[in-house]
Amino acid sequence: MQVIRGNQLSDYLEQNGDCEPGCLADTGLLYAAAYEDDRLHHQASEVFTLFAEYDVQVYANVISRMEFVDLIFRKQITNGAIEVFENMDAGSVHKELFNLLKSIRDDNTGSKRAGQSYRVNEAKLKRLREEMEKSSGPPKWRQFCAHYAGQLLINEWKVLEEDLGLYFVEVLEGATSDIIAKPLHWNDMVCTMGEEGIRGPDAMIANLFLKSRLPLLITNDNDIARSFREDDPRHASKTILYLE
Amino acid sequence: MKAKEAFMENRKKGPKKGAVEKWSQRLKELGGQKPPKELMEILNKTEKPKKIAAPKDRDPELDL
Repeated sequence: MQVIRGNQLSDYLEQNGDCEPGCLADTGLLYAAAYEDDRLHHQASEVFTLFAEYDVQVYANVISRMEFVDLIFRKQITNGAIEVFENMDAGSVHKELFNLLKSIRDDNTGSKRAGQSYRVNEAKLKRLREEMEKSSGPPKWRQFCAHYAGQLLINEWKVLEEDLGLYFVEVLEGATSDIIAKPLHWNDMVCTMGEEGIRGPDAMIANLFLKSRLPLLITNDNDIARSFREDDPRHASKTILYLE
Repeated sequence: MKAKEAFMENRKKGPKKGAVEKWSQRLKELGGQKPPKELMEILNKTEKPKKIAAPKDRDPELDL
């Protein structure tokens, strides 16, 4: 198993031809590709440019797919909240909403300075919904969500996935497919969690990568990268592109 | 030759050139829109200035 960095991808693709049947991507690559304020956006963009040139398909598991759409939703709501704040009168009677929006704006500013892409977490999202509904009613909250995220998620999501060459691996317990060479077992994933000390979603990606025919994994998650051993013969045919 | 052509036609495709630029720009546009006008009309409701009541110890004789 070898670990390569961003500027080595071109050489890898040159040496390994078409990287059939494709590569496995975790959520970090997908999000970085979507948002310019992510510190890895430029690298992610270069990865997809090379994949377009070499016609490499990009696979992800259903967990990554869900995480990706969730991150986009939260980021869009965050940006919408900042826009509402910037158009809101400081003398508004809706003081709690105003203060909450201000805190979101401030968190975003702080993250930008630290080179990070900020999005509201679940707790803040719930508070935002609560305050906006209290101030303007549930239909206006739904209008706000539709305005900043709904249109994309409902009308354009499929095209986004197609344009990015994204495909999703969906396999039942113990099954194989054209992508999965060895049966995927829930138990193997759980064992990986315990042995490597990594979270469930990361263990699912590691397990899927090992059992698949995909030769390349792209991740910015050190936990996933470290769960593979360079000298393990089971990992000999695999390569990890680590974004940092 | 036909089998190969069929394979290439059915083969899943990689990313389109410029896809990242296209979609990161689209997300930026969506996120940077002005909020819905009707929403802001409600949220920008401000407090009305309070009327100042006459002081209680005012001598009514002074009004003559």
